[in-house]
Amino acid sequence: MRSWPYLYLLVVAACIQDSSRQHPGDPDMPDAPAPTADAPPGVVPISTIALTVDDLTFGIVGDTRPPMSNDTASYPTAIITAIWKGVAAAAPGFAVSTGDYMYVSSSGAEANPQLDLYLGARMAYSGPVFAALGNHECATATASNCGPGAPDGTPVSYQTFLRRMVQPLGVSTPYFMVRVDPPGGAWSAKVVVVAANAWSEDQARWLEDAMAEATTYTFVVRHEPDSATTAPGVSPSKQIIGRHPLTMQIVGHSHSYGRLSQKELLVGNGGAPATGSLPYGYVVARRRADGAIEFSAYRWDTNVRFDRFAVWADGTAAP
Amino acid sequence: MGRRHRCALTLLLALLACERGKTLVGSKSSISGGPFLDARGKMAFPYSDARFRVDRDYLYVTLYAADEDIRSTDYFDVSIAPLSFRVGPALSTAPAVVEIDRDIDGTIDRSFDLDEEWVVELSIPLAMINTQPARVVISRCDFPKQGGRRCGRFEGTLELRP
Repeated sequence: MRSWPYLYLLVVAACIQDSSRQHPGDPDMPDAPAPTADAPPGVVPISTIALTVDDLTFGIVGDTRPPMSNDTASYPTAIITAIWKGVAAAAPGFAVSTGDYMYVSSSGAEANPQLDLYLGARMAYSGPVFAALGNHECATATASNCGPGAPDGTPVSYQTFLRRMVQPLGVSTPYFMVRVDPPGGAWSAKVVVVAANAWSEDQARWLEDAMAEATTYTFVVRHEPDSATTAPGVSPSKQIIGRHPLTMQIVGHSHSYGRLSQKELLVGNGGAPATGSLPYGYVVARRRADGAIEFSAYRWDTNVRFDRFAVWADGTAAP
Repeated sequence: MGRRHRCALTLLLALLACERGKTLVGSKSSISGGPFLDARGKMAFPYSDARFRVDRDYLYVTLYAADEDIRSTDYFDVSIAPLSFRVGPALSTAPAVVEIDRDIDGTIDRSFDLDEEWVVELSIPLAMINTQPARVVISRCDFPKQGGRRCGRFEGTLELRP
Protein backbone atom coordinates (compact mmCIF):
# COMPACT_ATOMS: atom_id res chain seq x y z
CA MET A 1 0.00 0.00 0.00
CA ARG A 2 1.35 3.37 -0.95
CA SER A 3 1.64 6.27 1.41
CA TRP A 4 -0.45 9.35 1.03
CA PRO A 5 2.03 11.72 -0.56
CA TYR A 6 -0.11 14.57 -1.68
CA LEU A 7 -2.07 15.44 1.36
CA TYR A 8 -0.58 18.11 3.49
CA LEU A 9 -3.29 18.88 5.88
CA LEU A 10 -6.76 17.88 6.71
CA VAL A 11 -8.55 20.51 8.65
CA VAL A 12 -11.85 19.29 9.84
CA ALA A 13 -14.61 21.42 11.14
CA ALA A 14 -13.26 24.60 9.70
CA CYS A 15 -16.55 26.09 8.83
CA ILE A 16 -19.84 26.16 10.52
CA GLN A 17 -23.18 26.85 8.97
CA ASP A 18 -23.00 30.59 9.13
CA SER A 19 -25.83 32.46 10.79
CA SER A 20 -24.88 35.50 8.70
CA ARG A 21 -26.18 33.60 5.68
CA GLN A 22 -29.73 33.93 6.73
CA HIS A 23 -32.29 34.32 4.08
CA PRO A 24 -34.06 37.59 4.83
CA GLY A 25 -37.74 37.29 4.90
CA ASP A 26 -37.71 33.58 5.57
CA PRO A 27 -39.78 33.19 8.70
CA ASP A 28 -38.50 29.68 9.25
CA MET A 29 -34.89 30.78 9.42
CA PRO A 30 -33.93 31.50 13.01
CA ASP A 31 -31.36 34.05 14.05
CA ALA A 32 -28.94 31.41 15.18
CA PRO A 33 -28.22 28.17 13.38
CA ALA A 34 -30.81 25.66 14.39
CA PRO A 35 -29.81 22.16 15.23
CA THR A 36 -30.30 20.14 12.09
CA ALA A 37 -32.09 16.86 11.89
CA ASP A 38 -28.81 15.13 12.51
CA ALA A 39 -27.35 17.24 15.27
CA PRO A 40 -28.65 17.09 18.80
CA PRO A 41 -30.12 20.26 20.30
CA GLY A 42 -27.45 22.74 21.23
CA VAL A 43 -24.92 21.34 18.81
CA VAL A 44 -24.08 23.56 15.89
CA PRO A 45 -24.06 21.51 12.70
CA ILE A 46 -20.72 21.28 10.98
CA SER A 47 -20.84 20.82 7.27
CA THR A 48 -17.56 21.88 5.72
CA ILE A 49 -14.20 20.16 5.56
CA ALA A 50 -11.04 21.89 4.38
CA LEU A 51 -8.39 19.92 2.57
CA THR A 52 -5.01 21.03 1.25
CA VAL A 53 -3.41 18.96 -1.50
CA ASP A 54 -0.58 19.38 -3.99
CA ASP A 55 -2.53 17.99 -6.91
CA LEU A 56 -6.21 17.54 -7.48
CA THR A 57 -6.52 13.78 -7.82
CA PHE A 58 -9.33 11.77 -6.33
CA GLY A 59 -10.77 8.31 -6.48
CA ILE A 60 -14.45 7.55 -7.10
CA VAL A 61 -16.16 4.36 -5.92
CA GLY A 62 -19.84 3.58 -5.87
CA ASP A 63 -22.50 1.10 -4.89
CA THR A 64 -21.31 -1.89 -2.91
CA ARG A 65 -23.88 -4.20 -1.41
CA PRO A 66 -25.27 -7.72 -1.58
CA PRO A 67 -28.17 -8.52 -3.90
CA MET A 68 -30.61 -9.48 -1.14
CA SER A 69 -31.58 -7.83 2.11
CA ASN A 70 -29.51 -9.02 5.10
CA ASP A 71 -27.50 -11.29 2.79
CA THR A 72 -24.20 -10.43 4.43
CA ALA A 73 -22.70 -13.73 3.30
CA SER A 74 -22.97 -12.50 -0.29
CA TYR A 75 -21.36 -9.14 0.38
CA PRO A 76 -18.95 -8.41 -2.53
CA THR A 77 -15.95 -8.22 -0.23
CA ALA A 78 -13.41 -9.49 -2.76
CA ILE A 79 -14.51 -6.97 -5.37
CA ILE A 80 -14.53 -3.95 -3.08
CA THR A 81 -11.22 -4.95 -1.53
CA ALA A 82 -9.61 -5.07 -4.97
CA ILE A 83 -11.24 -1.77 -5.88
CA TRP A 84 -9.85 0.07 -2.88
CA LYS A 85 -6.42 -1.43 -3.48
CA GLY A 86 -6.63 -0.07 -7.02
CA VAL A 87 -7.62 3.34 -5.72
CA ALA A 88 -4.75 3.27 -3.24
CA ALA A 89 -2.30 2.44 -6.01
CA ALA A 90 -3.35 5.60 -7.84
CA ALA A 91 -2.44 7.57 -4.70
CA PRO A 92 -5.21 10.16 -4.82
CA GLY A 93 -5.38 12.88 -2.22
CA PHE A 94 -8.88 11.82 -1.28
CA ALA A 95 -11.76 9.71 -2.52
CA VAL A 96 -15.51 9.98 -2.78
CA SER A 97 -18.11 7.24 -2.71
CA THR A 98 -21.54 7.53 -4.24
CA GLY A 99 -23.66 5.61 -1.73
CA ASP A 100 -25.24 2.21 -1.02
CA TYR A 101 -22.83 0.33 1.19
CA MET A 102 -25.36 -2.07 2.70
CA TYR A 103 -28.65 -3.82 2.08
CA VAL A 104 -30.37 -4.50 5.37
CA SER A 105 -33.89 -4.85 6.67
CA SER A 106 -35.57 -2.31 8.89
CA SER A 107 -34.26 -4.02 12.03
CA GLY A 108 -30.79 -3.03 10.89
CA ALA A 109 -29.16 -6.00 12.57
CA GLU A 110 -26.87 -6.54 9.60
CA ALA A 111 -25.89 -2.89 9.16
CA ASN A 112 -22.75 -3.11 11.25
CA PRO A 113 -21.62 -6.47 9.87
CA GLN A 114 -21.95 -5.17 6.32
CA LEU A 115 -20.17 -1.92 7.09
CA ASP A 116 -17.48 -3.97 8.82
CA LEU A 117 -16.84 -5.64 5.49
CA TYR A 118 -16.97 -2.40 3.53
CA LEU A 119 -14.77 -0.42 5.86
CA GLY A 120 -12.40 -3.35 6.21
CA ALA A 121 -11.94 -3.30 2.44
CA ARG A 122 -11.64 0.47 2.43
CA MET A 123 -8.71 0.32 4.83
CA ALA A 124 -6.54 -0.50 1.81
CA TYR A 125 -6.69 3.22 1.10
CA SER A 126 -5.45 5.46 3.89
CA GLY A 127 -6.67 8.84 2.63
CA PRO A 128 -9.94 10.54 3.55
CA VAL A 129 -13.09 9.22 1.91
CA PHE A 130 -16.15 11.41 1.61
CA ALA A 131 -19.20 9.19 1.51
CA ALA A 132 -22.56 10.11 0.06
CA LEU A 133 -25.77 8.69 1.49
CA GLY A 134 -27.56 6.11 -0.65
CA ASN A 135 -31.17 5.02 -0.50
CA HIS A 136 -30.01 1.79 1.14
CA GLU A 137 -28.63 3.81 4.04
CA CYS A 138 -32.14 5.20 4.46
CA ALA A 139 -35.16 2.91 4.17
CA THR A 140 -34.04 1.04 1.02
CA ALA A 141 -36.61 2.44 -1.39
CA THR A 142 -35.39 5.11 -3.76
CA ALA A 143 -38.26 7.30 -2.61
CA SER A 144 -37.34 7.06 1.07
CA ASN A 145 -36.39 10.16 3.05
CA CYS A 146 -34.55 9.99 6.36
CA GLY A 147 -33.72 12.23 9.27
CA PRO A 148 -35.65 13.28 12.36
CA GLY A 149 -39.00 14.59 11.23
CA ALA A 150 -38.68 13.00 7.79
CA PRO A 151 -41.17 10.32 6.74
CA ASP A 152 -38.72 7.46 7.27
CA GLY A 153 -37.15 8.80 10.44
CA THR A 154 -33.75 7.57 11.49
CA PRO A 155 -33.57 3.83 10.88
CA VAL A 156 -30.58 1.84 12.11
CA SER A 157 -29.07 1.84 8.63
CA TYR A 158 -29.09 5.64 8.58
CA GLN A 159 -27.73 6.00 12.08
CA THR A 160 -25.01 3.46 11.42
CA PHE A 161 -23.96 5.16 8.22
CA LEU A 162 -23.70 8.54 9.93
CA ARG A 163 -21.85 7.16 12.91
CA ARG A 164 -19.30 5.15 10.98
CA MET A 165 -18.84 6.95 7.68
CA VAL A 166 -19.70 10.62 8.19
CA GLN A 167 -19.16 11.67 11.77
CA PRO A 168 -15.54 10.42 11.81
CA LEU A 169 -14.89 13.12 9.21
CA GLY A 170 -15.96 15.72 11.75
CA VAL A 171 -19.22 16.62 10.08
CA SER A 172 -22.62 16.09 11.58
CA THR A 173 -24.93 16.02 8.59
CA PRO A 174 -25.16 13.59 5.64
CA TYR A 175 -24.68 16.60 3.37
CA PHE A 176 -21.44 18.52 3.51
CA MET A 177 -18.84 20.32 1.45
CA VAL A 178 -15.16 19.59 1.07
CA ARG A 179 -13.13 22.64 0.15
CA VAL A 180 -9.91 21.59 -1.63
CA ASP A 181 -6.99 23.96 -2.20
CA PRO A 182 -3.33 23.64 -3.14
CA PRO A 183 -0.71 25.32 -0.96
CA GLY A 184 -0.07 28.10 -3.48
CA GLY A 185 -3.70 28.78 -4.32
CA ALA A 186 -3.25 28.27 -8.06
CA TRP A 187 -6.69 26.75 -8.26
CA SER A 188 -9.52 25.84 -5.92
CA ALA A 189 -12.14 23.13 -5.82
CA LYS A 190 -15.15 22.11 -3.84
CA VAL A 191 -16.79 18.73 -3.52
CA VAL A 192 -20.44 19.15 -2.58
CA VAL A 193 -21.95 15.98 -1.14
CA VAL A 194 -25.74 15.98 -1.43
CA ALA A 195 -28.03 13.61 0.49
CA ALA A 196 -31.07 13.18 -1.73
CA ASN A 197 -32.55 10.61 0.67
CA ALA A 198 -32.29 12.98 3.62
CA TRP A 199 -33.70 15.99 1.90
CA SER A 200 -34.93 18.94 3.96
CA GLU A 201 -35.35 22.67 3.77
CA ASP A 202 -32.18 22.98 5.83
CA GLN A 203 -30.27 21.04 3.21
CA ALA A 204 -31.76 23.11 0.41
CA ARG A 205 -30.59 26.34 2.05
CA TRP A 206 -27.18 24.84 2.74
CA LEU A 207 -26.82 23.62 -0.84
CA GLU A 208 -27.63 27.04 -2.25
CA ASP A 209 -24.91 28.58 -0.08
CA ALA A 210 -22.41 25.80 -0.75
CA MET A 211 -22.84 26.00 -4.52
CA ALA A 212 -22.48 29.78 -4.39
CA GLU A 213 -18.96 29.54 -2.99
CA ALA A 214 -16.69 30.49 -5.86
CA THR A 215 -14.10 27.87 -6.82
CA THR A 216 -12.29 26.92 -9.99
CA TYR A 217 -13.80 23.43 -9.97
CA THR A 218 -17.09 22.20 -8.56
CA PHE A 219 -17.89 18.52 -8.14
CA VAL A 220 -21.25 17.41 -6.83
CA VAL A 221 -21.56 13.90 -5.38
CA ARG A 222 -25.07 12.55 -4.99
CA HIS A 223 -26.31 8.97 -4.95
CA GLU A 224 -29.15 9.19 -7.43
CA PRO A 225 -28.74 10.56 -10.94
CA ASP A 226 -30.94 13.34 -12.27
CA SER A 227 -33.22 10.77 -13.87
CA ALA A 228 -34.10 9.09 -10.55
CA THR A 229 -36.75 11.63 -9.77
CA THR A 230 -38.52 9.56 -7.14
CA ALA A 231 -35.71 10.27 -4.69
CA PRO A 232 -36.98 13.23 -2.67
CA GLY A 233 -33.91 15.40 -3.09
CA VAL A 234 -33.11 14.82 -6.73
CA SER A 235 -35.36 17.35 -8.43
CA PRO A 236 -34.96 20.15 -5.87
CA SER A 237 -31.18 19.74 -5.70
CA LYS A 238 -31.00 19.61 -9.49
CA GLN A 239 -32.71 22.98 -9.61
CA ILE A 240 -30.24 24.49 -7.16
CA ILE A 241 -27.18 22.92 -8.78
CA GLY A 242 -28.35 24.17 -12.17
CA ARG A 243 -28.09 27.76 -11.00
CA HIS A 244 -24.35 27.50 -10.34
CA PRO A 245 -21.13 26.55 -12.13
CA LEU A 246 -20.51 22.80 -12.25
CA THR A 247 -17.56 20.77 -13.43
CA MET A 248 -19.07 17.31 -12.94
CA GLN A 249 -21.90 15.69 -11.02
CA ILE A 250 -20.87 12.25 -9.83
CA VAL A 251 -23.65 9.76 -9.08
CA GLY A 252 -24.30 6.09 -8.41
CA HIS A 253 -27.53 4.16 -7.79
CA SER A 254 -27.52 2.25 -11.04
CA HIS A 255 -24.88 -0.45 -10.70
CA SER A 256 -22.85 0.40 -13.72
CA TYR A 257 -20.51 2.98 -15.15
CA GLY A 258 -21.29 5.58 -17.76
CA ARG A 259 -21.33 9.16 -18.90
CA LEU A 260 -24.98 10.00 -18.44
CA SER A 261 -24.57 13.49 -19.86
CA GLN A 262 -21.81 16.03 -20.39
CA LYS A 263 -21.85 16.91 -16.70
CA GLU A 264 -23.10 13.71 -15.08
CA LEU A 265 -20.89 10.68 -14.48
CA LEU A 266 -22.26 7.39 -13.18
CA VAL A 267 -19.93 5.40 -10.94
CA GLY A 268 -22.08 2.69 -9.41
CA ASN A 269 -20.02 -0.36 -10.31
CA GLY A 270 -18.45 -0.95 -6.92
CA GLY A 271 -19.61 -4.53 -6.46
CA ALA A 272 -23.39 -4.22 -6.10
CA PRO A 273 -25.25 -6.51 -8.52
CA ALA A 274 -24.34 -5.25 -11.98
CA THR A 275 -27.29 -3.71 -13.81
CA GLY A 276 -25.50 -3.43 -17.11
CA SER A 277 -22.78 -5.18 -19.04
CA LEU A 278 -19.77 -3.12 -17.94
CA PRO A 279 -17.25 -4.46 -15.42
CA TYR A 280 -16.96 -3.62 -11.75
CA GLY A 281 -14.36 -0.99 -11.06
CA TYR A 282 -13.52 2.53 -10.01
CA VAL A 283 -12.64 5.92 -11.44
CA VAL A 284 -9.71 8.22 -10.81
CA ALA A 285 -10.11 11.93 -11.56
CA ARG A 286 -6.91 13.88 -12.08
CA ARG A 287 -6.22 17.53 -12.80
CA ARG A 288 -3.91 17.80 -15.79
CA ALA A 289 -1.24 20.42 -16.34
CA ASP A 290 -3.54 22.21 -18.78
CA GLY A 291 -6.18 22.54 -16.08
CA ALA A 292 -8.59 19.97 -17.48
CA ILE A 293 -9.92 17.20 -15.27
CA GLU A 294 -9.32 13.75 -16.71
CA PHE A 295 -11.54 10.87 -15.60
CA SER A 296 -10.18 7.35 -16.05
CA ALA A 297 -12.29 4.26 -15.38
CA TYR A 298 -10.52 1.04 -14.37
CA ARG A 299 -11.53 -2.59 -14.05
CA TRP A 300 -11.52 -4.00 -10.52
CA ASP A 301 -9.69 -7.22 -11.37
CA THR A 302 -6.91 -6.12 -13.72
CA ASN A 303 -6.76 -2.37 -13.09
CA VAL A 304 -6.86 -1.94 -16.86
CA ARG A 305 -8.39 1.34 -17.95
CA PHE A 306 -11.55 0.90 -19.99
CA ASP A 307 -12.68 4.50 -20.42
CA ARG A 308 -11.12 7.94 -20.36
CA PHE A 309 -12.39 11.43 -20.98
CA ALA A 310 -11.64 14.97 -19.86
CA VAL A 311 -13.53 18.17 -19.14
CA TRP A 312 -12.60 21.75 -18.50
CA ALA A 313 -13.50 23.44 -15.25
CA ASP A 314 -16.86 24.56 -16.67
CA GLY A 315 -17.74 20.98 -17.59
CA THR A 316 -17.30 21.31 -21.33
CA ALA A 317 -15.41 18.61 -23.17
CA ALA A 318 -11.62 18.79 -23.24
CA PRO A 319 -9.40 16.86 -25.65
CA MET B 1 -48.47 -29.86 13.80
CA GLY B 2 -46.73 -32.33 16.10
CA ARG B 3 -43.01 -32.76 16.46
CA ARG B 4 -43.05 -36.21 14.90
CA HIS B 5 -45.04 -34.91 11.98
CA ARG B 6 -42.63 -32.00 11.52
CA CYS B 7 -39.70 -34.37 11.52
CA ALA B 8 -41.37 -36.58 8.99
CA LEU B 9 -41.78 -33.58 6.74
CA THR B 10 -38.27 -32.36 7.10
CA LEU B 11 -37.05 -31.62 3.64
CA LEU B 12 -33.67 -31.35 2.16
CA LEU B 13 -33.05 -29.21 -0.81
CA ALA B 14 -30.11 -30.28 -2.85
CA LEU B 15 -29.07 -28.08 -5.72
CA LEU B 16 -26.28 -29.09 -7.99
CA ALA B 17 -24.68 -26.13 -9.69
CA CYS B 18 -23.72 -27.95 -12.84
CA GLU B 19 -21.17 -25.61 -14.35
CA ARG B 20 -19.05 -25.58 -11.24
CA GLY B 21 -19.72 -29.10 -10.12
CA LYS B 22 -20.52 -27.77 -6.71
CA THR B 23 -23.20 -29.25 -4.55
CA LEU B 24 -25.22 -26.96 -2.33
CA VAL B 25 -27.32 -28.66 0.29
CA GLY B 26 -29.81 -26.76 2.39
CA SER B 27 -31.94 -27.83 5.30
CA LYS B 28 -35.54 -26.94 5.84
CA SER B 29 -34.92 -23.39 6.91
CA SER B 30 -31.80 -22.48 5.03
CA ILE B 31 -31.36 -20.79 1.72
CA SER B 32 -29.46 -22.26 -1.17
CA GLY B 33 -28.85 -21.02 -4.64
CA GLY B 34 -26.60 -18.45 -6.18
CA PRO B 35 -25.79 -16.16 -9.06
CA PHE B 36 -26.50 -16.89 -12.70
CA LEU B 37 -23.60 -17.80 -14.93
CA ASP B 38 -23.02 -16.89 -18.54
CA ALA B 39 -22.17 -19.30 -21.36
CA ARG B 40 -18.50 -19.29 -20.33
CA GLY B 41 -19.33 -20.25 -16.78
CA LYS B 42 -18.59 -16.80 -15.40
CA MET B 43 -20.92 -14.57 -13.44
CA ALA B 44 -23.54 -13.19 -15.79
CA PHE B 45 -23.93 -9.49 -16.48
CA PRO B 46 -26.39 -8.06 -15.69
CA TYR B 47 -26.48 -9.90 -12.40
CA SER B 48 -29.22 -12.38 -11.61
CA ASP B 49 -29.63 -14.59 -8.61
CA ALA B 50 -31.88 -17.48 -7.54
CA ARG B 51 -32.48 -18.56 -3.94
CA PHE B 52 -34.48 -21.54 -2.73
CA ARG B 53 -36.12 -22.38 0.55
CA VAL B 54 -38.63 -25.01 1.55
CA ASP B 55 -41.10 -25.52 4.35
CA ARG B 56 -43.84 -28.02 5.00
CA ASP B 57 -46.00 -26.98 2.06
CA TYR B 58 -44.09 -24.78 -0.28
CA LEU B 59 -40.93 -24.31 -2.25
CA TYR B 60 -40.01 -20.63 -2.13
CA VAL B 61 -37.96 -19.28 -4.99
CA THR B 62 -36.59 -15.75 -4.88
CA LEU B 63 -35.38 -14.44 -8.21
CA TYR B 64 -33.32 -11.26 -8.28
CA ALA B 65 -32.63 -9.23 -11.41
CA ALA B 66 -30.31 -6.24 -11.49
CA ASP B 67 -31.70 -4.15 -14.30
CA GLU B 68 -30.93 -0.62 -15.45
CA ASP B 69 -33.95 -0.56 -17.74
CA ILE B 70 -36.91 -2.51 -16.39
CA ARG B 71 -39.36 -3.45 -19.12
CA SER B 72 -42.81 -4.94 -18.85
CA THR B 73 -41.61 -7.65 -21.21
CA ASP B 74 -38.70 -8.73 -18.96
CA TYR B 75 -38.92 -12.20 -17.48
CA PHE B 76 -37.21 -15.22 -16.01
CA ASP B 77 -37.73 -18.55 -17.73
CA VAL B 78 -38.43 -20.93 -14.85
CA SER B 79 -38.29 -24.67 -15.27
CA ILE B 80 -38.67 -26.80 -12.16
CA ALA B 81 -39.80 -30.11 -13.52
CA PRO B 82 -42.55 -30.63 -14.34
CA LEU B 83 -43.38 -26.90 -14.09
CA SER B 84 -42.31 -24.46 -16.75
CA PHE B 85 -43.35 -20.84 -16.91
CA ARG B 86 -42.22 -17.24 -17.28
CA VAL B 87 -42.39 -14.58 -14.62
CA GLY B 88 -41.26 -10.98 -14.65
CA PRO B 89 -41.92 -7.58 -13.10
CA ALA B 90 -45.21 -7.36 -14.97
CA LEU B 91 -45.97 -10.68 -16.62
CA SER B 92 -46.52 -14.25 -15.52
CA THR B 93 -47.48 -17.49 -17.16
CA ALA B 94 -47.20 -19.42 -13.91
CA PRO B 95 -50.08 -21.66 -12.79
CA ALA B 96 -52.58 -19.83 -10.63
CA VAL B 97 -51.59 -21.83 -7.56
CA VAL B 98 -48.12 -20.31 -7.67
CA GLU B 99 -48.20 -17.20 -5.53
CA ILE B 100 -46.08 -14.32 -6.76
CA ASP B 101 -44.79 -11.30 -4.86
CA ARG B 102 -42.89 -8.58 -6.64
CA ASP B 103 -40.57 -5.82 -5.50
CA ILE B 104 -39.54 -3.33 -8.16
CA ASP B 105 -36.98 -0.59 -7.59
CA GLY B 106 -37.22 1.52 -10.67
CA THR B 107 -39.75 2.44 -13.30
CA ILE B 108 -41.24 0.11 -15.87
CA ASP B 109 -40.94 1.00 -19.56
CA ARG B 110 -39.18 4.32 -18.99
CA SER B 111 -35.91 3.78 -20.79
CA PHE B 112 -34.69 7.36 -20.30
CA ASP B 113 -34.05 6.83 -16.60
CA LEU B 114 -31.87 4.37 -14.73
CA ASP B 115 -33.44 1.56 -12.75
CA GLU B 116 -31.90 -0.59 -10.07
CA GLU B 117 -33.50 -4.01 -9.72
CA TRP B 118 -36.59 -6.17 -9.53
CA VAL B 119 -37.30 -9.24 -7.46
CA VAL B 120 -40.01 -11.87 -7.74
CA GLU B 121 -40.76 -14.31 -4.94
CA LEU B 122 -42.55 -17.49 -5.91
CA SER B 123 -44.40 -19.75 -3.49
CA ILE B 124 -44.81 -23.05 -5.26
CA PRO B 125 -46.91 -25.78 -3.62
CA LEU B 126 -44.73 -28.81 -3.13
CA ALA B 127 -47.53 -30.91 -4.52
CA MET B 128 -46.80 -29.33 -7.88
CA ILE B 129 -43.28 -30.74 -7.89
CA ASN B 130 -43.84 -34.44 -8.17
CA THR B 131 -40.75 -35.46 -10.07
CA GLN B 132 -37.77 -36.51 -7.98
CA PRO B 133 -35.14 -35.33 -8.38
CA ALA B 134 -36.43 -32.31 -10.23
CA ARG B 135 -34.26 -30.60 -12.79
CA VAL B 136 -34.08 -26.83 -12.21
CA VAL B 137 -33.18 -24.42 -14.98
CA ILE B 138 -33.83 -20.72 -14.58
CA SER B 139 -32.59 -18.27 -17.17
CA ARG B 140 -32.85 -14.60 -17.97
CA CYS B 141 -31.82 -12.47 -20.92
CA ASP B 142 -31.62 -8.71 -20.87
CA PHE B 143 -30.77 -5.84 -23.18
CA PRO B 144 -28.42 -3.46 -21.34
CA LYS B 145 -28.16 0.12 -22.48
CA GLN B 146 -24.62 -0.52 -23.67
CA GLY B 147 -26.19 -2.73 -26.30
CA GLY B 148 -26.43 -6.40 -27.08
CA ARG B 149 -28.36 -9.25 -25.53
CA ARG B 150 -26.88 -10.68 -22.34
CA CYS B 151 -28.05 -13.96 -20.87
CA GLY B 152 -27.39 -15.99 -17.76
CA ARG B 153 -28.79 -19.14 -16.20
CA PHE B 154 -28.91 -21.15 -13.04
CA GLU B 155 -29.02 -24.92 -13.28
CA GLY B 156 -29.44 -27.51 -10.60
CA THR B 157 -31.25 -30.52 -9.32
CA LEU B 158 -33.88 -30.32 -6.66
CA GLU B 159 -34.29 -33.28 -4.37
CA LEU B 160 -36.94 -33.27 -1.68
CA ARG B 161 -36.39 -35.96 0.94
CA PRO B 162 -38.95 -36.94 3.52
